[in-house]
Amino acid sequence: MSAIWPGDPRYAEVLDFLYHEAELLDSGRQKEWLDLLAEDVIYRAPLPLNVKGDAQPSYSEDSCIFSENIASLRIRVDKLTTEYAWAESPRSRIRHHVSNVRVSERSGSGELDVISNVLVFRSRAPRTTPDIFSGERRDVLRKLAGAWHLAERLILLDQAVMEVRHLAILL
Amino acid sequence: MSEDGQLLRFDEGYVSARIFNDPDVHRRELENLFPQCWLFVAHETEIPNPGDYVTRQMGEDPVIVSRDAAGKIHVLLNVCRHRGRKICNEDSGCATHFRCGYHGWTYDSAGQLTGVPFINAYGTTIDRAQLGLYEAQADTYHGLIFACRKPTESLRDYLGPMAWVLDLLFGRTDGVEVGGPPIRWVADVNWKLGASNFVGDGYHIFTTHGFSTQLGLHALKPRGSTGAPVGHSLALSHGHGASLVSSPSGTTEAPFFGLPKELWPELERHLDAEQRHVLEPLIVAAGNVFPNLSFLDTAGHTPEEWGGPPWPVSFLTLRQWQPKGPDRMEALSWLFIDKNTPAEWRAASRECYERVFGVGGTFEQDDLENWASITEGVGGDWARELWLQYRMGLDLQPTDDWRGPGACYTASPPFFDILERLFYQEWQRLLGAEHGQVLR
Ligand code: FES
Ligand SMILES: [Fe+2]
Repeated sequence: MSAIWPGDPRYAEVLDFLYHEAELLDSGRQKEWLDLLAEDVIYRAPLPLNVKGDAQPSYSEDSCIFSENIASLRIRVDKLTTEYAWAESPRSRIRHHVSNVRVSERSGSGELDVISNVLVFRSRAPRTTPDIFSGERRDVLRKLAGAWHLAERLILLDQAVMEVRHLAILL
Repeated sequence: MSEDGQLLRFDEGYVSARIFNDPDVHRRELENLFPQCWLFVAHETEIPNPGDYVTRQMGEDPVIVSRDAAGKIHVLLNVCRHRGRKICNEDSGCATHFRCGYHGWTYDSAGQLTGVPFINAYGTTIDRAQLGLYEAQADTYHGLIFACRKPTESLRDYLGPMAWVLDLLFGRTDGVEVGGPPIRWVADVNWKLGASNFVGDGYHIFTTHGFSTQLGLHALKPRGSTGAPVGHSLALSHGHGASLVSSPSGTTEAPFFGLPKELWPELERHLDAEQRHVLEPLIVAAGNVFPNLSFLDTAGHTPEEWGGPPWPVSFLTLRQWQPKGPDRMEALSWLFIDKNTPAEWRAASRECYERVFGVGGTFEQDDLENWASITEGVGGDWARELWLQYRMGLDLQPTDDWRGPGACYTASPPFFDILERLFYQEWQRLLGAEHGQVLR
């Protein structure tokens, strides 16, 4: 695993990828976002735990808040097009803030490990209190047909007990 | 609410909108209702070893559920006897003792006060034996730990015929275990809306979860089944209720909730013939143990459609709705798995559950949205005049051909509000808000 610095063109490609997908997710173009995923994508958010011990915040090894694959992500996105997407009607205003991007090359595979911070602001009028989801993304990007695709996303959420009705959006 | 403060018109099937967002009602629930009920606090497999503990809630009181050095389970008020600091702020762990962070009083895992710094400063005015943590009575059923502050009957009597239903789900094999820690989140919802939905609101499914039909998913209509599923709703004691939905006869592709064949001999050992007969064609079992513990076992999701394996799977979940004020609750969601389930089946069951339930669950999110919108909608003054409709099946009579416990109701379409009416009747009884009694 070797680090890729901002001078490397791949770093700019990664930023472009992250900003582009954020734009799609924030502008109601989830269907186009699906095209950025590898067919065998793994999309998970392990359950954060509030326990004593290591300096590191801990996460459950078995339980997840999200445990998705391409088929289930398609269902989530398709659901938004039905008349029964109650948790997203009216649609939220969503803003993904992506920062602290660190990129490294996975030995041999040509795939990239991308770690970033994500802060997602979600508001639904008429409620005045927004939902804020903060976490670290650990992504694996793979080049398919000349373009980067998301092969894996692990989301380490920063809040063990969230004060939200539901998490009906993609992080 | 009517002029005289009535909250429920049981015979007519009306529930006052006021009960879903009212500080007085909420206060009375905490003072009168929760202390009298046997409340679920944890499953034994969450604290398998001496010293293991989890922190939970009884009403709005924080408790520690701990297994002492000798293996006995204690349910302790998580509040220091000295000056009231919460003693333990972790969700779970393993400890020989709990030390209060304020002045250092120390309690063992049975709740006994074992250490007081500078104890001589108290002279003779302190008796450690009298200053253990407050403790509730605890008992278990199939590893489900319940606790009660002011019990008037045993857990077994409190569960009554609900025990028979719990047998089918939690006592059918050599044991169930939690699939991990619960998913927890806090929502702007009155807790009763979750409980009453699970006890008997089959009516909501087609609108609330309508996306699944619109997308052509098989939810609630397992592959290979033809004809309408058959529903049996069981009115049990104490406001408990359960609905059992079976495949139309002869079309069961996945008997016993699709549990792996390896487990079938265990069913023989643990269930009687009648229970096996009921369990065999089941595709959904849902209900609520009064007041706030809901359960669901469902084979109503076809894993293949969600990118899972081509064979049938079900999942078993417990969900608890903990009050946090008149218009807020903490939801807890556990997955349960029969102990000897092979790894592949386990993984598939977990995935099905995690896609559907929890804060991000594709089904649960819409329930939460609805319940939150009710809580908000009835929070004003005008809406309190509303009498909400729990009026389906007012004159429905129990069926005769049911050999299990309780009164069994069935109808086509399978919608009636009997179990919810009984839930609110018990709620009203424990609240001490009988007919005519005026609230502050
Ligand atoms: S409050 Fe706990 S030791 Fe003082
Ligand atoms: Fe529901």
